Amino acid sequence: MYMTNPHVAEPIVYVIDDDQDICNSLTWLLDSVQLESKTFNSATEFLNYQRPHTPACLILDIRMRGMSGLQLQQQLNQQKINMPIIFMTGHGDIPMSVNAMKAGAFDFLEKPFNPQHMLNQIQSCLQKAELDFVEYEKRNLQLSKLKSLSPRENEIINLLVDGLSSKHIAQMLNISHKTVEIHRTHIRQKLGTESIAQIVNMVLMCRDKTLQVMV
Amino acid sequence: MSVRQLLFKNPSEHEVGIINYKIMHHNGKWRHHEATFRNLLDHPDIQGILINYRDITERIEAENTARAREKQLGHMSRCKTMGELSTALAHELNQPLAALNNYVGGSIIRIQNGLANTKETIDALNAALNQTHRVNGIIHSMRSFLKKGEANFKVHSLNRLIQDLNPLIGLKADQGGCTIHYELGVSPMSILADETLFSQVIINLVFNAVDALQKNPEGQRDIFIRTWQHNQHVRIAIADNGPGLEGQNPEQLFESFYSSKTDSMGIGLTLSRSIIENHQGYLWVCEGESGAIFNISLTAQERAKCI
Repeated sequence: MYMTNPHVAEPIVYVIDDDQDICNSLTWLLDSVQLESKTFNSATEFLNYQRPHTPACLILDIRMRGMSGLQLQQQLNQQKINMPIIFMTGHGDIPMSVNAMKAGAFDFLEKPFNPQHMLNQIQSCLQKAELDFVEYEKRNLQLSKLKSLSPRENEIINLLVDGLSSKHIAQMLNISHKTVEIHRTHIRQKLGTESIAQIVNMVLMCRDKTLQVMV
Repeated sequence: MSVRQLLFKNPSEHEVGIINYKIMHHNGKWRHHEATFRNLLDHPDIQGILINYRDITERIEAENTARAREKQLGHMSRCKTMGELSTALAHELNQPLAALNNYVGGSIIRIQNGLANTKETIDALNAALNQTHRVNGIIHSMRSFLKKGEANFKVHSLNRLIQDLNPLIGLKADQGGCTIHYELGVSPMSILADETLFSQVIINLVFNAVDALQKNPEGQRDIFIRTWQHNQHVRIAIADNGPGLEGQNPEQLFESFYSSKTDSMGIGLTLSRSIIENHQGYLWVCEGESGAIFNISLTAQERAKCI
């Protein structure tokens, strides 16, 4: 059974299928293990929906009229919306499924799927979503701290991360060593850490990966 | 009827009639003959009965061969249609099966956990049952379409025949991004038809329309299926808002192996026309306000016999 993290909002399963019977029956199935779900008959409907800030996964039909499941996946990827996707595929959709997996799908299940297997996959998908969510929140917090730095502080922190000493930085920026030290103190205060290693880690984390938006 | 009966049925008429018979040739094979009789007993010069007979074995055999070939082609063309649809068909069957699984799976989990609300669970299981009807509809429509065998003419309700085809037609329309609009006449129109053959014609015409509509942008691909009664005739029109005949000679369309499509055998329309002619009806095409209109006219049957 999926254990919800007390610090995180209840997870939600989004179902997108243009077949109303599939939507209704999945709601019934998910409800049997107390999973909250919301269904949509088209990708556009889903995109227009104001999603709450909560871990979520997507059960997506690969073949739909209008925007297809694959197109929606691409769009979410482009918008850096990180939401694990389980694709539902019909017969003969293997090439499509391969593309879906390459584009980062969590899994794909061929219709008609075993309901228990689907529930298991959803549970692990939600676990991933929750980890991503916690990670995202952490990074978001760090990012907001980094954003509070002044332009000069920003300049200095980037040079620090690049491995330069205060002395070098003072020379490069044509300021006194003492001034650099004062900036460093401010930086430590604003970021709430004494350790230079943590500062480096924080900057690299936010700089390295393109920041992923959760919802 | 014997020759004697024929001769004396209407002694006053000169033209007595035609009789077909077969006789055994001395080589042991049967030959078909057609004989015409004329009663010229009153004729002053002849005072006798004139019998003309000719051997029509070749004609009969050619007709039989043609009929057999047409039947074969018909079945082949239906199998081909189904082949084109196989992926979509599997998809279409998997949808209700998946929904059915979910309803049943969700019900089992609730019952196992002692959380089943009786009314809700019954509703869910009924919803599952409805999915089996959906599967049945598709399978029935596929089987009657692929049936191979002797023509079986019965009186049918035209609208019902067309509605029964909806699962197959709908599939193709979905594949081609087309919308089908049914405008079925209200009077219970009955026709004498072989369900399989007649369905083949309708499917063929709708599939052609879907193919033609691929030239239209998505969202502007409409097919209209209309039925109505006009005096003693029942009419069916299948219209689309596609590019129309594009200057093609309407009659040429019905010629064998003539096709504007590269992947077609070009027998669809020829076969369709020949099937409708076997139904004592007419199939023709005309240009509509936008797109082509294929028309079928059949004799209306008495409603009481309708099945």
